[in-house]
Amino acid sequence: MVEAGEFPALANQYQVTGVPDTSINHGKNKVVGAVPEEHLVAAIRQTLGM
Amino acid sequence: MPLLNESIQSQVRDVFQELKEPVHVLLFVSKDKNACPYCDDTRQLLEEVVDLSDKLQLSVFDMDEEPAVAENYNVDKAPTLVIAAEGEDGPIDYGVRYAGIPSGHEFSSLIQDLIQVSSRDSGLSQPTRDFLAQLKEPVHLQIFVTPT
Repeated sequence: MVEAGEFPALANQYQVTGVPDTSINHGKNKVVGAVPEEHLVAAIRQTLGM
Repeated sequence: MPLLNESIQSQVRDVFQELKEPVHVLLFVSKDKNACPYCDDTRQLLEEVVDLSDKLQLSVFDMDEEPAVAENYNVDKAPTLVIAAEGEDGPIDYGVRYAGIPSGHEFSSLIQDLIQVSSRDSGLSQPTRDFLAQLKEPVHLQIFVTPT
């Protein structure tokens, strides 16, 4: 987890506009908002091309 | 001047009754106040939290004085907390990191993280565990949060 206020350059780099913002594999994909477990797993699958 | 008032200390001490196995927090700081204006407060906060249970221990590393330790844990910014299990031979890294001071709403994230690592159980569903077990490459998850 990264506190966006203290690391604004990093938040900018990852184009964070709302939190929580989950970046997968250094910006390959992202999930915005708090989501159920299955949703995050699906996003990881998608990122890995599975 | 403590950061946690008596009421919070008491509540956290109660919640920490749930702690099972030992947890080791490794805190990485920098003495450079420009690079890390919240390092002193983060250290004090962690010291106060860790004091509330004998299942918790804290080690503090200065990134400039001990860069090899920081590199070993892939830590490149201060303050960063590594929330690790404490095994017989030292910390066991589950890859849990928190960068920044865990204040406001994120204070409860800190407490939950400590309890979760202490439980040695991810709490994930079986299908998720099965999915993760067959991953062949590392996956990096970076979650941006704010205290409010």
